[in-house]
Amino acid sequence: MIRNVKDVTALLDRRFGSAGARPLSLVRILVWVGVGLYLIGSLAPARPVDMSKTHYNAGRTANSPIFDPLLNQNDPRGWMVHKKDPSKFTIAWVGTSTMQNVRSATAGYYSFIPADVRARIPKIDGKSVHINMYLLEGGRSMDVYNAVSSAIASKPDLIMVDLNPLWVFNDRAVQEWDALNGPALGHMVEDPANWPLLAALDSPSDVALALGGTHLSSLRDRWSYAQQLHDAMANLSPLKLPSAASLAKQPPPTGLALINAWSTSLGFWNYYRPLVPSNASVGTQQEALMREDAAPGPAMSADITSTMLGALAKSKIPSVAYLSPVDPSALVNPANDAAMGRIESRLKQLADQHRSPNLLVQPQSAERFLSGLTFKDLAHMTNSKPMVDYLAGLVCSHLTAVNPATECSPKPRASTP
Amino acid sequence: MQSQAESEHAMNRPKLNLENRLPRYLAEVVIGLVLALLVVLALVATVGSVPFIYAGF
Repeated sequence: MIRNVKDVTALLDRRFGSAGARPLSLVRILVWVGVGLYLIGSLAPARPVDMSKTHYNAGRTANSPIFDPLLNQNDPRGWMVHKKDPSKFTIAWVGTSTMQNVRSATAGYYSFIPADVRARIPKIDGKSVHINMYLLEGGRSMDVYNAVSSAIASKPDLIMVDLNPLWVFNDRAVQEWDALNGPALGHMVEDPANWPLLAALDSPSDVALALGGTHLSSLRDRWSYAQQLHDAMANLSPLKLPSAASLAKQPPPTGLALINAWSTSLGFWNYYRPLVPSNASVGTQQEALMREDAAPGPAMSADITSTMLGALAKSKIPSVAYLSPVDPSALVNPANDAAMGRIESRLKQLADQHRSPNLLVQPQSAERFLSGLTFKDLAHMTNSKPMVDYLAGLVCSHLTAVNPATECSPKPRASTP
Repeated sequence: MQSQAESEHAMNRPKLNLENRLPRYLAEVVIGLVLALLVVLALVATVGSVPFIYAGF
């Protein structure tokens, strides 16, 4: 007869042989959890990601010389880097939105600066040039470093890093692509110089899931499982997502609804601790961010950038890190000009700390010495042709400096389509 | 002599007593596999799905 909890426990113990009551039993349960995780991944593998349909690869052919290895920003696998093809000259090009040439309301065209440079240098050392383009839209300093760690691990022939002058030393946000922490962990943990950054930015779950996901696809592929589940549930559910038109009729959110609407924490800080009024134009906000980026004193982003330059120097892979240009008309304002000067000066100091024959750091913003660049806003070019000319020359001159036997000469601009 | 030692050894060998232990082992298997499924479900349910909205910087 069951009279109290002890009777229930005794009954369960009799029926199930005291499972979990002894340490050895708990160990066996844990082993079965591991077996279960392995079996789920083996018996129900996740749908593979179609890389030809990811955001920046869509529309390209399978043998396109430009490939963006980044997965969805929420996908904890981070990237899918193909094994290096020794018959090709592989360039890993890492950067943020400033790697694009964009359209404005009145001018411009859409293209990727690495793709335009590749059109100018189709072959290096007689090999066809292939570019792994890590385009981190909205990327901050740690996101760039995480992608650089992947680039170094893939052992390309050259690494190019585009440094965004709004964020290279800016602590307002050091990360936007948090999902990259897990996949970068394996590359970063080998170098003790990275340990302070890992301790500061990687959460215990980042570490646990990165370790677990190394061998267990059921943990590693959870984003793909979530997509499959979402598709299945969407068909089952009688509730349908409202149309964009009906959402547009809603009044703008306020209070907690507004906070919920922000996709990143940066939205919160820009609203509650604004540098300029939050209804200011994008260009005005960018100028304020650049001035904040130039603030003196210790900054975590500066530590991240410094560690990244150190990793590039130690990699022995020919590498170029350059400061992306800004709209020269913004530098007419002495405060902006002085801010850019401080950013250039700080980057030069870091470059001097990590001098290495394989690493070239260009700390001077290109609008200082290039003419003809036009911009949509402070940081996004609508005519990047002079920058493409410059970068194509920089690629070849650096490769030749590292190895004088390198065959690399950019085609003149007129002969490119 | 040898056969006597063997029979003594067999007598001293601990009994597996599998009949009594089997329910425990089976319960451990079921608990472990169910926990594995719950772990995967929890991770799948909590994986980020925040849409990226580019603000211009």
